[in-house]
Amino acid sequence: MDRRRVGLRLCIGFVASVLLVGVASTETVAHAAALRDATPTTLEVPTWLFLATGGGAVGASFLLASFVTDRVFIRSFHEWGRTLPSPGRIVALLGRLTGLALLVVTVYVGYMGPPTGYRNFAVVFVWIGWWGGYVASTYLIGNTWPTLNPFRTIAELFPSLDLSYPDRLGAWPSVAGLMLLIWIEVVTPLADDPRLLATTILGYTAVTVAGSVAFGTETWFSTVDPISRALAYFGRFAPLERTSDGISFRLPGMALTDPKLVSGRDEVAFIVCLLYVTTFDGFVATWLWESFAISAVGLGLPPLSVYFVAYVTGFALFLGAFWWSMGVARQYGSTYITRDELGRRFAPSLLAIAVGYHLSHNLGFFIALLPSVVVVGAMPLDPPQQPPILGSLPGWISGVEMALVLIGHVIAVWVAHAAAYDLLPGRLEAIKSQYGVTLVMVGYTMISLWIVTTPIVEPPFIATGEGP
Amino acid sequence: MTEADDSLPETYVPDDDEPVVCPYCGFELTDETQYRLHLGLDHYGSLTDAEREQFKQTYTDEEETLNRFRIIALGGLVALYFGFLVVYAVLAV
Repeated sequence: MDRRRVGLRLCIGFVASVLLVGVASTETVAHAAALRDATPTTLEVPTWLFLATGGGAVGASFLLASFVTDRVFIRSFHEWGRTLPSPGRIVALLGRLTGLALLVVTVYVGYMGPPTGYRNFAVVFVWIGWWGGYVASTYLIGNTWPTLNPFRTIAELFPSLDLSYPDRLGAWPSVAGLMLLIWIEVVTPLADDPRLLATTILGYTAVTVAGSVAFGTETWFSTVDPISRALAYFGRFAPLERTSDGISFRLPGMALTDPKLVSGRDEVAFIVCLLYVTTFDGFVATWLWESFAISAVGLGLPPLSVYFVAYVTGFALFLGAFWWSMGVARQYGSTYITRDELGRRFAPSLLAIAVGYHLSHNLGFFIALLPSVVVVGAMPLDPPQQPPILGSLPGWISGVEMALVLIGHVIAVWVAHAAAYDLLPGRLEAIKSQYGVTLVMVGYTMISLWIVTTPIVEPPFIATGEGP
Repeated sequence: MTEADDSLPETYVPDDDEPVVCPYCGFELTDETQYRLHLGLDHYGSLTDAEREQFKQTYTDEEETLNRFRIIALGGLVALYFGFLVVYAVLAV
């Protein structure tokens, strides 16, 4: 038995990652209290200790899950559920019309409304109402996007050439599409400039209509369209889902062990990408990136290429870490199952992390700015000079945000545990196979907690209009 | 996924390894222990009495190693808990 060697390696890995984050965060120890809106009563906790605690909580949840070794019991969580009757066609039609109307208003007000971002309905609605609120509903309640999706409603009006979609492309175009969308969001003032936002939405409409005319609406929106794919994965986390028998009800996150959820390397890459893009979006607004970008540009490199190289390299690192953890699973799980297959079964656990991260990232922001959405939405062409916001949220909201990141990880640990038990005949091997993926999750928790709690700075070189 | 039986996970056996192959579904396993557990979990209905006995024996033996793992995991949890407790007592003021 090589248990001792495994233990030693894991200890080294864990200590190294703690040290790494510790070294990287020495500068932040000064403003250590960590929670962004720290109240005077908050304990002064050094950043590294705060991050290590988050990582420790994920590690502890792996150890706790390892006590549950009864296959039938594990499966019972994932199989529990009921079915409700499906809503009628009128509800679906109303949903479609609502989606379409909101799209038209958003684009119109984007061009014709006030040019200031926080006063313009297009900006306020897309970023707070849709991205902050609606997207959260796809994983907290159920994925209603296939019905509401206005781009799909428009695309269905056109005849289709029904060209055959090349199978070898798989989900890769959606990975590229997601990377592209977030790239545009990061390097352009898309979150401030309503004209640019409206133009981007029109461009997106044109691309989706062209795509679905070429390949058919169903193929386009289930395979290529990155937003539909992302929300479909989020919907697999949700407690409610529409099936052929009606609306099925289950425990949140428990459908992520479905062996057919992810079908290939391309879809694994998409899930990793989904996790990665939110991290990158947060990372460019930290002091660490600011000082790195400033020194890299100081060496004479063009700012946009610094952003681009970092963007792609970061994605490669995320993919590499996940791929490495699947190698560990193959080795310590004592199995001949390929890394690809293991990746397909373990990747959905990352969705739980993405969900926790999205919710914690947007909760405070959504609550604080919701009054703006309502007021600006009520008079989109003539909004007040200063739309109302909830100025000071109670301190515990940021505590809830931290808790959400951790809950996402704990569910992820459990989903990986259940997937391992489904795949491997040996119970001890099933536990051991999770070593790598747990380590990756511990590392990712620390990174994301650090990003969420580090004071936000303006990303250098792009906010000042030097971007395209 | 395109194979005839899509419920079977895809496998890859390194050239110099000799897998134990399941006679019922063709699934390749790394050793005798995994093989017996696989038989019992996936093909219990078609097994002979001797094979069932072997499965039960392996399953019980596994319980022993699992218990050893649980003790280590419990130790890890305790170390994690008290480690953080001590660090917080010293550093968080």
